[in-house]
Amino acid sequence: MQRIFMRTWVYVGHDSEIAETGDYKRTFVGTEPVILTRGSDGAASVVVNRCSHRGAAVCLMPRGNSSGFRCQFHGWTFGLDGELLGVPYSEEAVDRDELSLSSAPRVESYRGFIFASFNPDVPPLTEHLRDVLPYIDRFVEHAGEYALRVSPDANEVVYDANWKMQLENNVDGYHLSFTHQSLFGVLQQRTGKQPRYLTGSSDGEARVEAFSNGHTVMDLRSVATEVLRERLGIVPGAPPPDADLDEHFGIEGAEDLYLASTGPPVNISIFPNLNLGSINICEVHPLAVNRTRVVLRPLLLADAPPDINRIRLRYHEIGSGPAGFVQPDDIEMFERVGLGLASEDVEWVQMTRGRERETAVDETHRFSHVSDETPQRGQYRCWRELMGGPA
Amino acid sequence: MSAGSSLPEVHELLAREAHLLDDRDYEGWLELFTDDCLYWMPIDPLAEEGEMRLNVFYDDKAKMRDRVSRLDSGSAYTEEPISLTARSFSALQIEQDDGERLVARSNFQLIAHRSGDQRLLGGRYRHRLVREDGGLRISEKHVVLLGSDAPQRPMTFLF
Repeated sequence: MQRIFMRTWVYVGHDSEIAETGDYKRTFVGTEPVILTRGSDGAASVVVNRCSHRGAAVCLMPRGNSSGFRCQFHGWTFGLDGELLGVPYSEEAVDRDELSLSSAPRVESYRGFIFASFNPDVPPLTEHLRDVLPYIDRFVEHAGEYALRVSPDANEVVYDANWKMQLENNVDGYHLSFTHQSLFGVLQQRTGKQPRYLTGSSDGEARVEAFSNGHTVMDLRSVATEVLRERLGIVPGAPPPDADLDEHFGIEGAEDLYLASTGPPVNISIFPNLNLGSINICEVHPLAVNRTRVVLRPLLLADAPPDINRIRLRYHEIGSGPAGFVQPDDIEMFERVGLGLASEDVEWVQMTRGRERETAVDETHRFSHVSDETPQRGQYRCWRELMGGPA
Repeated sequence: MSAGSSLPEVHELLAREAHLLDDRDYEGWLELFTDDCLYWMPIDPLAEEGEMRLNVFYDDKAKMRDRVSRLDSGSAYTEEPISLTARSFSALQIEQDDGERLVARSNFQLIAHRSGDQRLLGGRYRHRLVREDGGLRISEKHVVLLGSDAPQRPMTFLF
């Protein structure tokens, strides 16, 4: 936790989760309990959820709006930026600076994604993210001009395996046709076709990529177009295949907006705790070396027809959450790896696929065939560096 | 018709549903539902409606069939090996009954066991029922799971 989550930039929330002054979200940086807040000056703060007096958590609600936080133990009050405002029965001088809530020294955002760091010396966020900025732009712009706002409700799952499994998985093109075979079975039953993301030969356009600072991408491009469209077609309440979409949704250009309900066909993993993929923001929270909490929220579109956002909610529910058709099977595989790694006879796993054929632009920036393990090696290269081993 | 007189019939239906699910007779279970039914579990246990909210699931009949065919496919790996379940319901009350449409409320406990891992889940059911061809069918099953808004392990079995 110290060497990774307290040393680099960590994703804490989306602008739309704390849209108004006083909005807050209770979350974690690694295992550090924090509150993300929006102050009256419009700035986001990340304060430690621990009363400076005797250590009680000052915020128990997952989200809300407040003028500040009051510790119910002895009544100390704090502002949205953690400033100590009041100490009951205070007859001696109180050092308000010293006794304000601790806070992350660095909070910066890019296109709505807010990150915090407890390391005052991290480079600026946009420098840290530099190689993946175009992909984040593509993700943010997948529905054209519509502004993104996250669903306040989140699907949360917990699994018994390491947090890095979730990060690896988001950019793992190799597993899709196997782990998620049952989803393809459902699509086949519904459509009579045999939809596949990857067929071996026709997947040359899709690729995976590893960048500086452990960030990685799986870009399915047009390979995913058909299967995603069919997946959209099985959403409860989806318009019938022959529907006039402009009429159905009551806007012009509805087809593009409707098809955007599957998100851009690109998955982005921002090391160490943010996965973007489909239309979801996925936070990865380590709880212990072998226990992880995952929080998934779909992105809705501000000012879009309600029917479009309804489709987006239903689309998320097909795959995500503890009863989804996709995420539970990933989790099952993470836990099977956890079971297998109990072996002491075999020390190493194979993460070598594509090592020969990948293209190395430089030491960290590499791209390769979509089924290759280039991104996973990129993540572990960053992990090793942060953990302080030989680079 | 006074509320309560249909209690034995509703109790029988819910008991049949519970046994069909625990026996994994999914086709039999689907037959209990109307064609325009809704089977849903909100994330927010206090949610009054789910259509414009995010849910754990919000299934129409077609998606219920997808759910069942996935479970029967052998490649829904969270159910390979399968979860054994035993569920019970209690405190059944008929909240509304106009002779054609009924609303039944109950509490449930569901024990799920898989690979040595036993879980106890619980909450409330609200069944909306309609009288069709003399019998009762389920038009809506609303499952309020305690902890639906907290991190859950996969729960791909049916509620």
